[in-house]
Amino acid sequence: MFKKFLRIFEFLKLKRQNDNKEKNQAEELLPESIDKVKTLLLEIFSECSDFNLREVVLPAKNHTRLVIAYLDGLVDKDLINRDVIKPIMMESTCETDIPGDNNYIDVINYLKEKVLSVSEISDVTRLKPAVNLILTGDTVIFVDGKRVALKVGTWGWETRGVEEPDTEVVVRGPREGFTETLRTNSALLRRKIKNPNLKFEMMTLGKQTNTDICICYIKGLIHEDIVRTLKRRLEKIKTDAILESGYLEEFIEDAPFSIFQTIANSEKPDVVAGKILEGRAAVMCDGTPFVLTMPHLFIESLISAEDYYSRPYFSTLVRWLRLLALLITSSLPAYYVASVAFHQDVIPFKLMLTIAQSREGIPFSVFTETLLMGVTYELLREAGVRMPRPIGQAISIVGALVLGQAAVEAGIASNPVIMVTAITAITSFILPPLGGTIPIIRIFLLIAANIMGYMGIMLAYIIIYIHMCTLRSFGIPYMAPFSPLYGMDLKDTFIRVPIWAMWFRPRSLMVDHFDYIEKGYRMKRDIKTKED
Amino acid sequence: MFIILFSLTFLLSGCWNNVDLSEIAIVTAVGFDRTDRGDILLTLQMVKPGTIKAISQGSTEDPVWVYSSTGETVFTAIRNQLTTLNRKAYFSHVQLMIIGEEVAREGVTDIFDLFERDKETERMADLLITRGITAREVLQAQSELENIPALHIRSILKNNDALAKIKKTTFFDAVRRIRIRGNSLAIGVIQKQENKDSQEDSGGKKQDEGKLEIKDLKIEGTAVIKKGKLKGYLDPFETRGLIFAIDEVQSGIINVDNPLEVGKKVAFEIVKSSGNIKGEVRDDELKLMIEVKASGRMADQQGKGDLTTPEMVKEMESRVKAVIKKNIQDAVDKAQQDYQSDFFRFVKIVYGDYYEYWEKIKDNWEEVFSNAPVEIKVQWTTTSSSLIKKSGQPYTDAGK
Repeated sequence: MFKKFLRIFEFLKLKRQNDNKEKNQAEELLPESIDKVKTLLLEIFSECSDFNLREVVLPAKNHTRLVIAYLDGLVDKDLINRDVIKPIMMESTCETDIPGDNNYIDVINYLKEKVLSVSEISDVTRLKPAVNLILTGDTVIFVDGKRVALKVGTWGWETRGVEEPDTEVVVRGPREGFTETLRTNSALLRRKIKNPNLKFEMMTLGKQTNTDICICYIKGLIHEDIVRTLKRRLEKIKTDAILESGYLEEFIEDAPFSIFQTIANSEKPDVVAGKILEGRAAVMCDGTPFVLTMPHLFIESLISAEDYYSRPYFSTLVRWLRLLALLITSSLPAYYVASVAFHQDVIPFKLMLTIAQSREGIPFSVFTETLLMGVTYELLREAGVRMPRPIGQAISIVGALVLGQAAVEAGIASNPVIMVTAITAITSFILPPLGGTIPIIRIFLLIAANIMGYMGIMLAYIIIYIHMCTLRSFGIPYMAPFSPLYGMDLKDTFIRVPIWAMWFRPRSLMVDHFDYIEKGYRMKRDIKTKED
Repeated sequence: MFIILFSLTFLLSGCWNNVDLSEIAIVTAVGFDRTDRGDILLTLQMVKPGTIKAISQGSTEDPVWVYSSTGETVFTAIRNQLTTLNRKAYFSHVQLMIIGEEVAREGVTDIFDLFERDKETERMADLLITRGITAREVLQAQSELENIPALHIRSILKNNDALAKIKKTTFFDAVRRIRIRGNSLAIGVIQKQENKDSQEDSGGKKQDEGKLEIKDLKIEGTAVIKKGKLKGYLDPFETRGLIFAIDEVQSGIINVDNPLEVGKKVAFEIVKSSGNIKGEVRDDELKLMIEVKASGRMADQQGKGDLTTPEMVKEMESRVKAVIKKNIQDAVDKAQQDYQSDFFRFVKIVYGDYYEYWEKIKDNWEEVFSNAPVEIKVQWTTTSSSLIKKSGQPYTDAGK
């Protein structure tokens, strides 16, 4: 036991040392001698077959030696050949040394201002950033005798074009979607909001992956505390890899154990732009088209970007339909089970006869039957998502058998249960943002209904509502603007008023909810200082 | 919407005993008779769900199961059913409760009690009293049009909206009103068709002697129950008078003589009717009033003549008025003279508006009621003669 503790202690000590070591490495300056740089680089990139190191001399400056380093495949080779290497080498032929020109005594300035015909150039003085830049697809030119290297923006790898996303299809509205490249994504956003106040703050996360993260918000429009909290949470992340924005989401969520997500994601620039304009922040992550937006409130699950593009009456109607779908998809099986097993008196007589006659001869209880069909559907759905395309047909044929007349004829399920499952399934597709939440609620309600009938459903509802009301997303209550009530914000909830009548930005995102967080935070700090 | 659903869940979350639908026998109708020994003979009509399914696939099996059991109390009789039933009888969907004439004469309260007390009963079941046959026979009657005979009878009762020939009473109404002092119940009657034409059955398909069909039954008229016991019956016309007075007429047909041709009739359809009963006490003298305001249209004219001239309209209106008045008068006479029971519920007015007077006479209310003068006021307006004015008659020189 004691030994184990000791080992853990030692591990932690070692880890701290390692961290320090890494910190030192990051601080390390570039060596002066080009040979040293070369050996260092070759050491760092040993066994990296895509690493390219090109050595050239600059004729004009006493044949200064330059080392051009880049990763093959990440850079635009044409650009390097045409605008980096060629000018350097050609310079010797067309321009001789101009000894009197003091401006160009410094090789670095000379290269920057006279030779390299590339727009994006900056200085690098430390080794670690230089390596990172090479890794992100830039070209770094090391100069002999100088502690400064030049970063040349040459990235140009194969990317997917801007396409219409499959997950959020619209009838009316922009068709473009985010891509896997962070810069493209930020450009897409910038094209929607042409405003210097739209800030893109970069950050690199993931010890192994060094993934670029970008925080986007409109300065002056967003509540400062949201950005501060977001940054604080992001900075605290210590992990090896960020492969998708889902990784980030789990790290910075307010309620990591809740079944409800308190951070939204979208693949569409117009959706993200809309949310940023409402006073939200977005986090883009290199390598994924899914952009996170926060704070995320419950009502956003019922809202689609298209609501704002179509007429307000229709949008309002559709929102009510979505609410109906939410109720159906979460509670219909539970209500069916409760009605058939507990409250037969509630069902109209003729409907009851129909149900009774189709339940005749079914060997399972209604709960088992409903659960069985529900699970079958979930399996089918999962199979449908995961299977390779060519198998699709087979799955759909078998699926129709399993969840259909064949099941009824086999005496395993009754017709109403098939209907209930089918309606539940259809309505579940209406609310993609809640896709991960609803199946859990559905099963929870179903079990509650089987234990206590309508009473159980009621209790389960109460538990869920209480939970939803306790949730917060970056300090904003999850159920805002209903609880707490922000009257002005109701304009864009179950009723979507015309755009010209939306006079105010969402109040729920502007009000200082942070008192409570900050207070708690401060209290903790106070205690600490007292201890000190 | 959340709120509606939420509150519904609150209200409806009643009992929490879990009985699967396939483990209960859905009772559609209950009938009560007396055995010779004086026990209660309880007849239940239960659905056989499997058979309903089979019938839709062409089976000719009987979709309901009618079984009778006896017991000293209703509850024992119900429990005695379990000696033959494989499932638990479930009373929440009882559509029809039929009380045998004999039981009704002895008193209905003993039967009501269990169903009133039990949480599982459908209190909106329609109540009927038999005349001349037993409840068991009624429940055994088969239907050709509906799978479940009880539903057929219920639909007939619903049709009555266009007939005004029966006083509809639900079980709930009955148990509520039977407690009111001085109140008499009026309950619908089911009886055998007396002048049934035996030739009606086609060819060799002779009916079994024991088995009735619903078309052999007649659902009209009213039974009067005074102090829980069956006192007598009203015929369909008196029933119409009664329901005119208590404002339950939805529609109906009134036939009057055609003044322009002897022996021919003209039918009027009641479109709107409002009835009102009133009472007045002056100097300890009770005076009762029945006011009916009805309107309708001429629906059917036999014989010739233009009945749409102002004079004729007036004439016809007065004739209709007379018919309605006579119906009501007949019903009032039955109530006051024959049965001395207040099924019009005048007691409501006296109790509510003249409580002091009621305190004085409550012990002999029936007597006071029977001797009180009843004033009947009827208004009738003919609103239209439908699509045509004059009846279409073959052309003759005389008739023009």
